[in-house]
Amino acid sequence: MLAYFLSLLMRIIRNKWIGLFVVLGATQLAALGAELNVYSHRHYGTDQKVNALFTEKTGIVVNVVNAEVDQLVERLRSEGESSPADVLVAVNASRLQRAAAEGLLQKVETPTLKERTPTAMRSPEGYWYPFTMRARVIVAAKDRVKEGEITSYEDLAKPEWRGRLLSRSSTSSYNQALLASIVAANGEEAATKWAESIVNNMARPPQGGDRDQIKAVASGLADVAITNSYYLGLLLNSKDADERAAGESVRIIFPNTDGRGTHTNVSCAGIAKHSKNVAEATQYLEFLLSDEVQKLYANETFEHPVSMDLSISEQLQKWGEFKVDEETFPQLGESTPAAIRIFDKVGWK
Amino acid sequence: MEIKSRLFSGFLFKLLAAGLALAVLIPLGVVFLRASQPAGEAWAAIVEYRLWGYIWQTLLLVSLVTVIALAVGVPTAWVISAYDFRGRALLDWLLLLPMAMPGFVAAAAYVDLIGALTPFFIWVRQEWGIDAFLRVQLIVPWIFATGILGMTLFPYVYLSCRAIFARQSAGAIEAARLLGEGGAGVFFRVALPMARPAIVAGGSLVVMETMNDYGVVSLFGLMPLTPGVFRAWGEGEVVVAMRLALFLMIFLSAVLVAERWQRGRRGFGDSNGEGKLGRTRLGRGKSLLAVTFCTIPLILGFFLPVWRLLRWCWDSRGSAELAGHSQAAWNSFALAGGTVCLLLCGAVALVAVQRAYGSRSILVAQKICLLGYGLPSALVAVGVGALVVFLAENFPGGGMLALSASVFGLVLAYFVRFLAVAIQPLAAGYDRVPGCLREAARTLGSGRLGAMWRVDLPLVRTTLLAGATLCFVDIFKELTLTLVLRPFDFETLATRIYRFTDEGRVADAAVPAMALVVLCLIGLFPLSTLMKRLER
Repeated sequence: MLAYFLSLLMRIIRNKWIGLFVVLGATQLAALGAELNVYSHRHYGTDQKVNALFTEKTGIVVNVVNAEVDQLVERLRSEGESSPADVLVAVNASRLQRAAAEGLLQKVETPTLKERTPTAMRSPEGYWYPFTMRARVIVAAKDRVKEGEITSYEDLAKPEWRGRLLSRSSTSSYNQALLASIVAANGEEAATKWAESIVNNMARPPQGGDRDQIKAVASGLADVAITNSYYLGLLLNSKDADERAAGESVRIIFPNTDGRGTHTNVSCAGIAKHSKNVAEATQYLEFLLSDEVQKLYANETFEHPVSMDLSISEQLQKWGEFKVDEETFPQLGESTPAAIRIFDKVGWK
Repeated sequence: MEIKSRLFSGFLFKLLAAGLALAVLIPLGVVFLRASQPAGEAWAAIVEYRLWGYIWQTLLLVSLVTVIALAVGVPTAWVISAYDFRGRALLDWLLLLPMAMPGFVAAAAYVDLIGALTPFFIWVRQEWGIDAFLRVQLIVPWIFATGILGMTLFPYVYLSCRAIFARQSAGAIEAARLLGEGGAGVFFRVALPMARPAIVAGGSLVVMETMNDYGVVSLFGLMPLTPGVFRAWGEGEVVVAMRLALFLMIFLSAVLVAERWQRGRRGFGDSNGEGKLGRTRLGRGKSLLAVTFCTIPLILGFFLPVWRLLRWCWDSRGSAELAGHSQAAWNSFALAGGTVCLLLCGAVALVAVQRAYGSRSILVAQKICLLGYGLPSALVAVGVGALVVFLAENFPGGGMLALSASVFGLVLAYFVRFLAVAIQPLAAGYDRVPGCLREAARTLGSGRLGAMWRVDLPLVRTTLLAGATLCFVDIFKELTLTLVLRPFDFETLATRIYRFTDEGRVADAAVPAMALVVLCLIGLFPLSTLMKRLER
């Protein structure tokens, strides 16, 4: 009995528990053709579709290991030269900035990568490239908030929104990046005041994800909420009628379009320092920027394409053009520690 | 020659026991070591902005949950022990059921109800203004979290009080009845004071479980110390996490010391042979009252969540998550199974071998290992986590070690926390085995280990098995340690339930949640038989 359990344990240690071995096992199965090991924070069904499409086109098998980006980076660090990882995918540029600074990524530059990505939104040294844009917007209840009443993040700090505002917790990297952009734009002191007012205006202590905030506005609990735009897209195109109704009841506001622009983060990818398949990895990065993949993302996850060509998606077209905050984007990484400090200080949970 | 080799094997066993005791002390040692390192600005920021919140939330949470658990556990135990009514025997058994409902599973079943309260919140805003609205929003998650913890943890109090009402105070209670005290008078003036050790023992288990809870409090957005430790750990502030874990340790030690102190101060004579407490037959009206009183916590702590989960299971049939569920179930099974094997070996080495050799030093090691259960989960988690990181960074082939270390860390943490759960039933089993049997075997020429293997262990087989089942279930439903230490890209049923609930996908959480509840129910059988045995 004991021997049996021990052998089970050993089998699991070898086969199931460790990304590396999963990857190695998959390699044996897919002995034909080349393969690519992707460490990714993204876990939508569309990502699987994109990878399958890549395999179909190139014959390169994509093995994905999913986890939080911090875990992935730590894994890369401890694996060192023996790391099987080829590509690292994150949903927050500052995380890849940090990985690049630690020497975990390698530079890559091709005409396609440079042409297809906006200069301000990619690593200046070529360590990583964006492949979707994620705008952090404001949604407002159509029946309770007048058009034009809110035009900027700063408006949300006004006292008239007391008990009417919702946001998720400060542990979310989306909120950290948003506040980092405000620190970069207005300075730490003004950002602290802003965050303090936001906390005072909250209709409830932060709970749930972005989607929950939109639904809560729809239910009448609050009147405005901060969310990434694609969550609204997902609700509006949901299979569930209640979710569609919730999405319909709110208006999307791209803030600060008259000023620095709407805070926008990116899904981004870079090639691991010790990648053994650099050619395939480069090919994968370029593939993520192809029209086909960009269109897939714009219509299924409702993230904006890096080209900002809205004509490829009906939903994005409906929301219309907006100005991306390129001004603060390069400083997001360095401002994040200050943002976290401010969250602590003002008691944003 | 033979004597020499025996001495040698005795020495080996002592070494093994010392190693086990050391393993249990490792997390504590790591935490002490790291906590004393300078933490700089991060710690100052925590002290300034968060520490006070962590502390008052911990104290408030623990006191509220304990009050609820006592208010439910003690009276139900009294009603079941002192009165006879239709359905009593069934209720006696049913009242254990909430033990099979891990808090975070119940939370999964309740968490969406807060959303259903939105019309009420809006009504409060319209009627009483924005301040009342905000206050109600603050209070409601507390009601849910403390209610859920109280309703799933009260069986600890119920069990300990039930045992003492049934046996220990029987004589005094009968005397009070003969002297003309009424039901309430007997309860408040005789039974309750005499049950104090049981109340405190059950209550301190409730306190421990509440302090170790991560799932329920974080799902309802509360921020006591345990999530505070995890937050600091997640942000890479290792020293801060360690210091917060020490705060938890101080709280827990205070509770355990208080429990000891109140137990030791007065003799509550274990009055064997006083006979069973005769039950008073209740009339129809009072019977109904008693049944209702015992059923309400049962419904809230077990049947309502199960019913909601079952409905979601039905709704989610054909869901795409099934493959993931079975993978997670397999992970949980293998992890719990493997660790239980190690725990059994540990328990045998510490209890059975100790009896076989009559070794005092192994007994000391055994007592040390019992401490592991009293360590806060968050402390064990970050202690083992830091050890794993240290090993990975400082030894050659660090990359490979870091990978396998993840499994190693999780198993070590379970081992530290649950070794006591394996030891205690085995030790209790040994107490009931007459030593003369072992001596007879020795006289007939059997060696120490031979006697242990052929005489002692077969006799304690049942308790050993019961202990193993308890460990298995405890590990299977463990969430707090697993969330921190689980290997990369790896889920157990418990972490999966937590993740889905946290993402607001409660329907997807329902199937693994029900699987967990069913498994915990299976674990209840050995527990109740064990209790019955120890009661006799």
